[in-house]
Order: sequence, then structure tokens, then C-alpha cells
Amino acid sequence: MSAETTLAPSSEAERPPGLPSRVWQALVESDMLHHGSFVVGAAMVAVVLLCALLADVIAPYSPFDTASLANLQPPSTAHWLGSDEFGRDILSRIIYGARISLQVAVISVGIGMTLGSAIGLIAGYYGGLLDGVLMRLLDVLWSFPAILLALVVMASLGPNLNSAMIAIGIIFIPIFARVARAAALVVVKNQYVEAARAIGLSDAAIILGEVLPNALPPILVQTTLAISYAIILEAALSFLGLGAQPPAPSWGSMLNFGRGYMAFAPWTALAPGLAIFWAVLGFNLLGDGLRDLLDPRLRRVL
Amino acid sequence: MSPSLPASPPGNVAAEVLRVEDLRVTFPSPRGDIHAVNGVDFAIRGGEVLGLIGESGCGKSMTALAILGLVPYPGRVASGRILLHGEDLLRRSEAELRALRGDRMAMIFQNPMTALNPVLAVGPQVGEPLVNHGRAGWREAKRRAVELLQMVHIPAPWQRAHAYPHEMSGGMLQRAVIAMAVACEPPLLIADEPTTALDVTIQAQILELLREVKQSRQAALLFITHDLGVVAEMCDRVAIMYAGRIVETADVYTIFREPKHPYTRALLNATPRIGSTARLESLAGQPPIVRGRYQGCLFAPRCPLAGEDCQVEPELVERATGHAVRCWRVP
Repeated sequence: MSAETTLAPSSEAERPPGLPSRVWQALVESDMLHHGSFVVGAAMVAVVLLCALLADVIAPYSPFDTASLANLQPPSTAHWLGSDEFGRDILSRIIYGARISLQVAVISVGIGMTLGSAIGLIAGYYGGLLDGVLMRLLDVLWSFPAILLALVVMASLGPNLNSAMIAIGIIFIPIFARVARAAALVVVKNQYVEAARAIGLSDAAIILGEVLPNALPPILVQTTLAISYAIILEAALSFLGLGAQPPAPSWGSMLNFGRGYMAFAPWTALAPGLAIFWAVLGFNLLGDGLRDLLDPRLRRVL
Repeated sequence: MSPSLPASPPGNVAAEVLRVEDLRVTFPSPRGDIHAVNGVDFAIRGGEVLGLIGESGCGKSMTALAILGLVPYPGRVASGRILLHGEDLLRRSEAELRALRGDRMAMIFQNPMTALNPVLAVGPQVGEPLVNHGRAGWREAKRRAVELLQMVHIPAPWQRAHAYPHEMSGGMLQRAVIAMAVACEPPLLIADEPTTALDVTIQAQILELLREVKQSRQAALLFITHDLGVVAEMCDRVAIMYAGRIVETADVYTIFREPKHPYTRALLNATPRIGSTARLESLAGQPPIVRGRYQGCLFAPRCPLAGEDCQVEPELVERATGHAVRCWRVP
């Protein structure tokens, strides 16, 4: 103790990290590199991320260029995944497709996470009648099959990528609301919430400053899982012709067009199918790994 | 002013900080309202420590929450006045109360391990009341938080300000909680069993610290506890609560030397004393839940002195200067 006292005003550099870096620290301390699914998932997601970010650099051809090759050519050394019905390089379209998939996934999950978490935190914090009404409304939303709900939204907003993002975002609202509410219900019982009231903090300040930081880990895990689901939903909507419109290189619409040539040019459908599989599996593994690493330990570490 | 209030000792020049008059807190229930706090009167002056003593469930904590305006739903303050520097808090809006909480009155909680947010560093939490009440910006609050931590004798306050609650011991955390409570120098401090969760040596240190901060700021301290040893050490005056009512109030010496109310005596007899070989007497039963209409002395069912006249509830009557008792059957 006395030795510590002499250290007194120390440098700013010794400052422990803030909350995001503490989540990171928790991950580091929990030897995440020994967690199989986390490592594999992170690696698979990294590939998708790199494709999306560096598509212009790594894609060998333009995703729209129909002149480079005859149509429906099988895979070759020049065109690793062959060409589609308009002679476009499939590998390039897959790489650019990662952009659309991630863009839709991130924005729609962002919408769902923000609105859902806000509703869930408010419901869990106030409880009572407000909680009951909000959660029952979300139960109604939740009870629609996802695709059906998306179709209804898209029908009213028109078939394009923006309405696909909104539709998928709406699907995620009840999922995030439930996760956030469950976390908030636990947090509000803690004495520090009462203590926050006793120093005169407003409800809004308590929800943002006390409840949200404590509810963050489960919301974070849900986010990764939701991204993989959003990728599937985007592909499904594009497959149905409701999402990305041709000639945009969306995995879902590529799958749809490739479907017609399955018998004699299977690579046209197989490539986007495998791309979807890869991305979804990657995010699922990452999410599972995060849940294992964060859930049991965060309570101790944070 | 109700006649049953004990007169304050003469010569005490400090101003009255808090006066509670006929405070009633009720919770609705299908079989009639539950009276959690049932007509409580007391007053505290600056620099004075009033001990609020009683078993669990007798309304001590609810009295404290009512003063802060934080009675949990569906409970409500049914009647009474809570005067902070002469202004009735029950007439204030929620927003006005929020401006007073943490600034003009502050609470120190029972369990320091849970009174601080586990995901935030201690320093910002200690400085938060300053920011919340517009007394400092974040940068200034950070500096003041370190000073406050130093004031409550936390070693290496600069490092501790960056530590998280799980990195500190219970006694250290309670010091931080006290620092947070006194950040805005509130004239009224409420400590709800602040040492119950701590071991005895740390208890003594925390009591010493509380005395110190109270003294340096001439704050009024409402000290809630069921530990009579702590009472003897800490309090100037004592109010004994039973079933939502004050049954006896006196200065701390009188309570220990001449306890009058049978409940006070039972409490004292149930307290172990060093050197005494007498058997501790226990008081059978539990305090009643006061629901709907009732009559008679609430303590009568457990009272060794109970008789016919206890069918009518006694008033809190002053028997000697500053010593009031709610009982028919004691002189």
C-alpha cells in the first residue's frame, strides 16, 4: 500500500482502456486464439471483409464487363470460376458481391440493433405496462415468418436494395429487443441503478450510462449472429428478384440466374451458393465463438 | 410542529437541515393499504447524526427512500411533510427533485460491491454527481474525483480513479461510494446500513471516515442501522422504529442508560456485551405488516408488558427533555 502511495500522480499512459477495449481485453485474456470456432470463423469473415473492401484491387475483371469472354464458359486458369450467361467473370462478381452482402447485412443489422436495443432497454428499464405493450407488439412482429414480413415491407417500399435493408432491419427489431430487454431486466435490479437515481441522474442518462454498457456483451453476440442471418435474407430477397437489381452482382440474384443453367453450367449457381455458405458459416462460427468467450467470462472480467 | 417532537438540545446553533413530519408511505394491496412508514417525525441539524434503528422490515430504508423521493412503485408517500432547509420536498416535481438528489442530499448504500457500476471506472462515477449537477465539466470532474478519493483516504487516488470496481476491496469501494455521495457537498447525507456488508475493522474505519466528512462539512447525517454497537459509536440522537412508527427517541446516552420502551429494551437485551455472562434474550416473532385499519399498540403482540390499555395505540409522548416514548405501560 505504502509503496503504491509513492507512485501517486502517474502518467496518462497507465490509464486502463475504455469499454470497447475492455471487451477486447476480455477476449485476449480468454485465450481466444485457442478457441477453434472463433479462430476459423474470424478467418472466414476476414476473407469476406477483404473481398468487400479490396474488390477493386483483387477482382481480376470488372463485374459488369460482358466482352471479356464467351458466355457460360467453364472454370479455366484465366477465369477461375468460369463465366455467366452474359460472359461476365463469375469470380469477380462473387468478390464484388461480398460488398452488397456486407453492406445490406451491416446496415440492416444496424437498423435492427439500434431500434431493437432501444425498445428492449426501455421496456426492461421501465417494466410494467409499457414493457407489456411494447413486447406484445414486437411479439406480433416476431410471429410473422421473416420472408413474409420482408415481402410485405418490400411490396410497399418497392423492390430495391434500400427497401431490402429496411425490411431486414425490421425483422431484426424483435430479436434485438428481446436480448436487450433480458439484459436490462437483470441490470435494473442492481443497486448501482438505484444509486444513479440517488445522485439525480435522469432515466435517459441511466439507460444510456448504466444499463446499456452492462447489456452490451449479449447485444454484441447477437449482432454477429444477426449478420449471418441478414446475409441469407438478402440473398433470399435478391433470389426472389426483390433485393439487388440486375446487373448488380448480388449472390442471391446470381444464384437465381445460375439456377436456369444448373444442368450444363453448374458453376454459375454453385459459386454464389458456396459464397453465401462461406460467409454465413464464418459469421455463425464467429458469433458462437464470441458467445463462448464473452458470456461466461465478461461477468467476471468486467 | 407536532408536540411529540423532542426539543433540540439548547445551545446548539447549527441550523435544522431536515425535518420530517408525519411521514406515511403506503403500498396498495388487495386487502387494504400496507403502511410501510406510518407517521414518522424527526429532525436533524447540521453536524448532527440521527440513528434510525430497528429490525429488518420496520420502515427504516423506506423512510430514507421517501426523503429522496425514490419510493419504488407502486408505493407512494400518502401524507406528511419532508422539509429540507424548510422547503417541502413532497411539493417538488420529479425534475426539481432530480436536481436536489446528489446535490443537496445524497445516499450511501449498504453494499459497496454493488453500488458502483461494474463496467465503468471508479473515478468517473465519483465525479458524476458534479457533472450531472452542472458543477464541473468532465475534465474538471475527473480532477475533483481524484481529490475526493484522496479525501476519503484511498491510497494512490490517481490510479484508483482509473480502476474498476472489481479491482478494489469492499472497504475501498465504500470509501469511493462516500466520496461520490459528498462530491457536491450535500447538507444532508443518508447512510443506509453503510457498514453491514463490511468486516469489523473496516467498519471502524468507515465510521471514522463518515464522522470526518460529516464534521468537515457540518452535514446532517441520517444513519440507518440495526447494529447497536455502531449506534453507540456514531450517533448523537437515536430514533427507534417499529412497524413503520417511531416508538422511542432520545439522545444516544439516554437510550443506552435508560431505555424505556419495551422494544428498545428487547433490542438492547439481544445485543451481546463484552464481559457479560448473562444469556442474550431473544424477542420472539417478527414485526407485523401493518395493513388497512388497525388499532392498539403495534408492539403489544410481542410485548412482555402488554395489558388491557394496549388496545388503544399510545402517542409518542415526551417523558424527559428530548426523550419521547410511545408506550402506556412505562413510567
